[in-house]
Amino acid sequence: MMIEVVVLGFFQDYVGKKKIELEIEKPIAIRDILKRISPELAEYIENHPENSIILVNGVSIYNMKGFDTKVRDGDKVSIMPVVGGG
Amino acid sequence: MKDKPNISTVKRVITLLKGGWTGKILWIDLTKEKSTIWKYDPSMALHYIGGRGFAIRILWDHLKPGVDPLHPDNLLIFAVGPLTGFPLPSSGKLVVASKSPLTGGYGDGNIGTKASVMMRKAGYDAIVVEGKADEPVYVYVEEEDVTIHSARDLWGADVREVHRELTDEYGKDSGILTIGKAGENLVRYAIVMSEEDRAGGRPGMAAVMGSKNLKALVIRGEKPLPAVDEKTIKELGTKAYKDIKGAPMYPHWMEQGTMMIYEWCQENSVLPTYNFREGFFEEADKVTGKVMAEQYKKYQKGCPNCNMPCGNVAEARESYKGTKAEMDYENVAMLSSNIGVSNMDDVIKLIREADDLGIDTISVGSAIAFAIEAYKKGYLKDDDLDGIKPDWGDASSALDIMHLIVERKKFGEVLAAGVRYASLRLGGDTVKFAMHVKGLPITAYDAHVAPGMALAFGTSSIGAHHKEAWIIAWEAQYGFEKVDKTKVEKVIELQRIRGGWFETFVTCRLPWIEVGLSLDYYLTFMEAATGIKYTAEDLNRIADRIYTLVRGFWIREYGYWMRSMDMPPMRWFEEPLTQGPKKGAHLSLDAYNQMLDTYYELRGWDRNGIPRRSTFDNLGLSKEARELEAMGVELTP
Repeated sequence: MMIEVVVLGFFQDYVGKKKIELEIEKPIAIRDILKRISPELAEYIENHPENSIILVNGVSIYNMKGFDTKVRDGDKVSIMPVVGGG
Repeated sequence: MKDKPNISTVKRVITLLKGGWTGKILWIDLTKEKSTIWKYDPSMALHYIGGRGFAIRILWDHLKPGVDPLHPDNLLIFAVGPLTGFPLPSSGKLVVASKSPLTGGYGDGNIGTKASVMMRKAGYDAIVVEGKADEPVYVYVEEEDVTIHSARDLWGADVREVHRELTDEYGKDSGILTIGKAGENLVRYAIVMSEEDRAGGRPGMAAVMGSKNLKALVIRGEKPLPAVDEKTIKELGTKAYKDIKGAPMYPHWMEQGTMMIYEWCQENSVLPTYNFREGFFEEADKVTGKVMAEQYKKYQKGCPNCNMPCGNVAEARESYKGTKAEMDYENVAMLSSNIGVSNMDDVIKLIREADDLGIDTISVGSAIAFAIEAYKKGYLKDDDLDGIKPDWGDASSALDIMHLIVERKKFGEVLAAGVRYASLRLGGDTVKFAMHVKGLPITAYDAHVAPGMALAFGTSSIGAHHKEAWIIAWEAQYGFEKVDKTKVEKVIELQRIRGGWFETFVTCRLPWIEVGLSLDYYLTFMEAATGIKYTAEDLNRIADRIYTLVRGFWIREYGYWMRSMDMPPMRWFEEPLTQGPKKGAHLSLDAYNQMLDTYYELRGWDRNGIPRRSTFDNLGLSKEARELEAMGVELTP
């Protein structure tokens, strides 16, 4: 089972690239995905939840089960800071 | 103007201004070639703070209702605030305001420039210009000395040329505000420029300058800025600068500035594409902040007192080689994805050209997109565009249209009045794709998927603009799909802080919104500067007073109001996205109306968006309510 993870903005500094393909064996929680791609990023997001946006197939995890939201085969996860733009 | 009546309608207070404010406004009458120093009633400072607060108060009191915005009687106001110019984060800003020739309502913009600090050092909280000079002039203000000079030689010159000439004449540290050809030719979204690339006053403030034959305003002064507690400002300012530098976002911000949101918008399907038809641009990868920073960026420039300069100057590498322009997300998105252009060199050229001509990059991006769509749908013929055959992605024809607009040739004459007017002239479906609210073109966020951002555009006090409730990032986190009271409350909270606090202080909102500088700083800064302890509630109430008075001004000038004026264009409701991961998404009319009802209720306005009588009364605006009633406006109790 594969999922696609897209990392934007300065979060990319933690993982080194924009797109990551992750192989998973069974549905996996967002919290565990974060730990897998970068424990440092996971820690930052845990300490600054107000400064992060995490979407599963375009829907904010805050409207699902937060960090316990499960991701399944073929899902797309987007992880980005609450960026500015003016 | 010593004889001016007390302008405040709120209870007169005898407090003298001890610091923060200079207490003086310079009033220049170009018709009479006279200037006067007006010591205004301190209650205006206490109840409106400065910046746009002063602007709306002065317009309400001193502008004859119904005046044509391009008539000499219109007032052009440059206003700073009690925090402007102090050594604290990003304090080099000023507000330029007037009755807008583009929208017919209240118009303003803020601009980062040395002119803001110089206005303070010259001893003024605002400079008001009325009347019209017989021939092109510029005005030089050096403290109490105000002189009017011929600008015949500067008329027709582009913005950079004027800046160079006046800098040679008056020195590098003078504050210079100027207009380009667009302002001279009364293009209704001509914008005031400073220091070559800084711009402010989207709703045609430079057209108002042009209508007065005023090519430039040069300001110098050496007076100390008045502060009650200078030591605290310095110490706390130093600490705030450190906080900014230590913010996690800081390095990324310094690399890309506002351009960092380009790929973010693409990811969230809110990147304006093909005249806001889509929120996803297939070639977005070529125009991102990263590409700009790594391949095109030359250096960074910013405003006085700023340690997080947002001006990323990029240089074209192949076509238009050597051309440099300041790359801000708004400019870039409106002149790239929104017109289908993905070549960074082309984008740099389009921005440079717009800045040199002194035309608002956002509005001209909207006008070009509108023209492309109208042409492709058969509403415009070859001859209308003087033989130009515009198409998505064609930067060369986009440049030609920009010139057609500035020269006001052929259909450029109509486009120079804005997309609202152009759509009324062309009729048919063009009304649905004229992307504006109240006549002011929408800035660079497509809101097919973002009802909160749509409401922010719908209710912004100058027409569609992001500078007030920039809710998009919060909305992504909270959930685009949600339509509830919390989201509406957030719109109002942001309007209060961004459209109230920062627009009246007058300082830049970016240290707070971009790198998270605490708002608490500003309460202490205000106390240290003025000696008055404002709480967050006080400042929110002042912001509410300003919003209600601004809304009153629109109603006064239009003579009526209805809720459709607070609606975004029908495109976002009726034409679902056809590209990208959110294909099929569109706004719901019911949901929008529900949010708008909640918004009005929270603001104390009636179902048509007219403030209730009791709201005027509660905010100390009873006299203004009576004036509206005397005009025949029915106010709900």
